[in-house]
Amino acid sequence: MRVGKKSEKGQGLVEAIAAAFILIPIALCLLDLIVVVMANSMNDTAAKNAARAAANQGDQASASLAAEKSIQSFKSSAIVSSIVLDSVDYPPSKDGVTVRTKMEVNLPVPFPGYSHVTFVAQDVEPIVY
Amino acid sequence: MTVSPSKSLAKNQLQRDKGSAIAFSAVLALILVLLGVAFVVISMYMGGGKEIKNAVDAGALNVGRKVLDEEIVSVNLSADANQQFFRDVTDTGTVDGKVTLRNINRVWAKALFVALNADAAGGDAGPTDASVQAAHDGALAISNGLAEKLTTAANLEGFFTDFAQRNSVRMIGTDVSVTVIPGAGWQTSLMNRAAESNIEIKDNLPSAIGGALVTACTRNPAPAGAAGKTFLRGYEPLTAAGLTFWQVPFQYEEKPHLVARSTFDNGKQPPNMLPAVWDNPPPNAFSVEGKAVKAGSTGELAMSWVLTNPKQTYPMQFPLGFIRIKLARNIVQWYPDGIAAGEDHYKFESDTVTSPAYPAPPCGLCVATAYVGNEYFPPSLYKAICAIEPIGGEAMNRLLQRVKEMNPDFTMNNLETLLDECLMLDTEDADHEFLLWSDGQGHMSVQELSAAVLPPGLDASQHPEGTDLVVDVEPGVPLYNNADFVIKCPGDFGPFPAVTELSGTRTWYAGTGFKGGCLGELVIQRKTDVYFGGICPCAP
Repeated sequence: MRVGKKSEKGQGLVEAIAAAFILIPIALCLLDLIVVVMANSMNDTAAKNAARAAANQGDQASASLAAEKSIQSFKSSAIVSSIVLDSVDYPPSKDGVTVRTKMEVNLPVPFPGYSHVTFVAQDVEPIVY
Repeated sequence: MTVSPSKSLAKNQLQRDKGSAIAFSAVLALILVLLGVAFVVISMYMGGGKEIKNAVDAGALNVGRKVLDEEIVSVNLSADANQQFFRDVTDTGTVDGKVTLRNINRVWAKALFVALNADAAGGDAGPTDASVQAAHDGALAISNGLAEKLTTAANLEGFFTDFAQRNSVRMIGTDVSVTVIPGAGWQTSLMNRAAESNIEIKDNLPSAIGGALVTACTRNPAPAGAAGKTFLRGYEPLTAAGLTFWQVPFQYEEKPHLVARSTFDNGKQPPNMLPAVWDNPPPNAFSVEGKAVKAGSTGELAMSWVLTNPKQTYPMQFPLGFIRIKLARNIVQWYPDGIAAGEDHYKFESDTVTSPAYPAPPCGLCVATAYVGNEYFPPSLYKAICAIEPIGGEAMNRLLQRVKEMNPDFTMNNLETLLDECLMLDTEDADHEFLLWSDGQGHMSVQELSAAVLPPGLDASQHPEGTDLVVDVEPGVPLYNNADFVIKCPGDFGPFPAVTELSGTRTWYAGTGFKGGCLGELVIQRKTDVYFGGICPCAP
């Protein structure tokens, strides 16, 4: 009978669509994951560079300025919307300077409740002024 | 209804085709998930490697910083006199002063100064061998002790851990931190050979020294402040008085910083030996090794290499020392009829001296009276030194050179003022001694020996090693109306004017500075010659 033949033809397409519903979100998730990992690494590097720059200065004001200048080398984009200096702690003991940076990242594939992620990185460097 | 065999086969095939899309998708989904997980794990591992390198770098920089001053990598002077000689170049300037990598070059520089003083005195140096050897041995003992501390890895590991553990290695594990890997990864190196040390040459050396001992700043480009400056060379043999002295190189105005492994390895001894034998040199570069391991999992290792630098320059200096200035008793030499007879002495102020009676032929006597000591007005030490020509002269140059060894910024103007402000309170007819000394901080003082209170480390009873060297001759200055004489035969005839001549010598005795801090002695000796004579007009 002809009815059985028509439904057999359409089933492949339906299965493909059903598989796509599973595979495509997984792929998009992976994309977001890649962005998360890379952004985290970028933030760590920014914090380290800022801390190294600050550690070569003689006082809090110069350290903050140096850290700020270091951060400016990181350019924002559609994905990394901003990277800012959260804090520069240059103690009077001139032991070590602690720098915290905050990076705002827009996930390329926003999921409900997870379109925007904030990363915080910290680095401590000995002051060698 | 029966189905033909060919139609049954086609149907089965169709059923097999129907099931493959879902199975394939499921497998693909699983692979994608696994790939994703693998990517995350590898990224975490690579990221963890980067984190631990950052943490180890921070630890290495802290080692490079702390190794300059900390107690655990310092040596205190022993009670041995050869080491106590260097108390003025330690951190506190006291008997238990500390020597660290920051100031070890000051120790060697002071020892070198002793040798340079001996060399410059040449044939008039006197018996300086023992002084030079003792200073050298003292510096070497201190340097060896310091090297021992710096090459003991256990002394440095705390500096590393202090900072390495402050940095997160969360990509390896949230409860994981960096720890030390003791052993072969902790080594030392002698970098920047022949580059400048942190001892700057000032205009205070007893004689010029060759290019083998000094260098300009070797940084390229050199900092602006380095223009015109010269420094002792580091990790190069500095030969003086037959012995070899050393410095550790610290490039001018450089900070502790990380270096490449290849550069570090090039400086290791062995295999790259210094140009002369120095068995135990204090190193200026250090390697560190750390790891971060999660329990039950693999970990990461990292190494780093740091070149240290105190970023502090000291002048080549002999901070604590003294010079003796002796005004020898003034002499009046009588020349009756031009023939040298007896002598008397006079004060360091206006004084009247009468000669014995000398024969005035054929039957009388001649007595002269000299009015002397006028050259010592005003009664200052400077006036006493430079009473007559040459004003200043080589004597003052010798004094200034030695004073500049103690305080490199002292000028001739400063010295003249200092000596001029020292008044001779005691002007009696005797030897007068003065001491001109530094307190170790560049402050110069001068006092009569009886009133001088020298700082600890100086011994006023010590005299320089050198033999006498006349550096200035004060040629005879004829003086008029400074003497007269009478002739007694019988009855007094006169007074008649006598001729006087004032002359003197300034004699220098060079000191190395090792004996009680005595850098030299200047002796002033003055003499007034009185010429007189006549004939007694006796009745036959």
